[in-house]
Amino acid sequence: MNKVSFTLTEIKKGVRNYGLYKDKYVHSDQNDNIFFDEKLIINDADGASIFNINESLIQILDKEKGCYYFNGNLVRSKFFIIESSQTLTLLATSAGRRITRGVYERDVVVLNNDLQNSSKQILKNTKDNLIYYTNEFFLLGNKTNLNTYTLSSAEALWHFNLLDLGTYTPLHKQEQKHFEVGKFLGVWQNELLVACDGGLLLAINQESGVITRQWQGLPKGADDYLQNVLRGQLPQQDYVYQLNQAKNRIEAFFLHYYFYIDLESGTLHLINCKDNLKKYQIEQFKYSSAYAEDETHLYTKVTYDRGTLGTDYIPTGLCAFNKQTLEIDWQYRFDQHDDYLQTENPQLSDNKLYQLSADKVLYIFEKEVDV
Amino acid sequence: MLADGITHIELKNIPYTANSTPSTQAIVQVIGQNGAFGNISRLSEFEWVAFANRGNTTTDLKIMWKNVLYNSTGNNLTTRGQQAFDTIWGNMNLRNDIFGAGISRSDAQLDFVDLITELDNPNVTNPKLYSFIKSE
Repeated sequence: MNKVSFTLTEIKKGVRNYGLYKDKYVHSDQNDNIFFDEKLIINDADGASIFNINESLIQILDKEKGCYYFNGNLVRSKFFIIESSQTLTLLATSAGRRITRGVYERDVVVLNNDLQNSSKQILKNTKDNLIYYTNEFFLLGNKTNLNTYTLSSAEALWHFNLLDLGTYTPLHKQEQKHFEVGKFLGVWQNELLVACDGGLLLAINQESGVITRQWQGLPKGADDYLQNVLRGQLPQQDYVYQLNQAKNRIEAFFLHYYFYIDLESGTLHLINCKDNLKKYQIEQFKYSSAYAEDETHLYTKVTYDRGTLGTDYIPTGLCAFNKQTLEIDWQYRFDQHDDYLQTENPQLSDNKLYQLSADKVLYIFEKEVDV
Repeated sequence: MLADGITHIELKNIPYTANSTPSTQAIVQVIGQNGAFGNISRLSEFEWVAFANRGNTTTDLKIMWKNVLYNSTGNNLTTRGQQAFDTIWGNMNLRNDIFGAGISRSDAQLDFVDLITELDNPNVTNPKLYSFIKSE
């Protein structure tokens, strides 16, 4: 059954932010010093901005318009890369040049392996962000537009305007809003998967820009409680959706439900976990922008039932959700209120689970063997 | 918090005017690291509501909050304004929601000042940064 359990092995205070590097981590303190394995590596960066590009590359923004990359060595660069594991070339953008509020121009370049120098400029002065690329094309976008270009000559391939999709009514509101690109989830076969604000999930053919599939609204059979709370819609917060590690499911946790779309069949599934959560006095999953995942489990934040526990606050914690049994295998309750973990999400390395808290304590759990 | 699990609402039964200064607690509840700006993922997940039957108007409330964040005489952020920016910058989800992705801290701070002073722009009917402030 591949059950899992963790033990809290380290509590590190004064951590502003962190990123995982192999089985260790890079972290910042409150004075913007950056450390790796407890050794100072930078003494004045933007400690709030540490990003995992992949498991062996971390990006740390500096306080000007550049960044550092840490891959065991430290490199300073003026280019910003995005992850793409299956491409021959490494694409990056230059720092944004401010035109006016919220409008920035950037260049798209091919970056050398030294992460510092560019051998070729592909596109100049684009106002969009680089989102994704393959060996053949790259995708740029903003909240309402997606544009693809050939990698060889930056020739425009297709354009997709989300304003064409019409509007939706935000939950508990009266007004109408246009759908916006919230989160680029990834690629399944030939489909670009996009979560939009408003509870709309899109699959767009990456060669033609045509919508091949879209999902909106709760699946048939959703219970009355959920129909009532979400008014028949999927959660409108685009950030709760994630493409799983195997890249064959879009999934999300909300309230006491685990939701997924099987990308092979396109069917929506809703798993009511209420009874299982109740065993651990857990009331619901917290809305989160990312879930940690390994081969057997998903890791996410939960809140507990204060009535059962007799606290005057809503306690918060972490859980390991078994992908095979669709049940909780392990949970850890912090003796803290529901905002204690803020918007920080758990992160996972080979055998360690990390969680940063509101009071800047990094909790490190180690996986137990032979559970 | 509403039943959808994400909408935070702060209710105030206090009569405010445009020239009022909210209490330290009321300010920190919004802009402090452990306040709303530290804990929401989208600005639309938060509402700061002062009761209309206490004479509050949305226009006055927005001006009051602008004065909390911005020194119009010196044309710079107040200490509270800087604190609000730092909180937003430290919350990656809210940062991306307000400023977009791929922006430097220095540029974001310029954008933040523009978002605050947008309240004075007669051509902007619904300034984005103030969308959480309501009188009901």
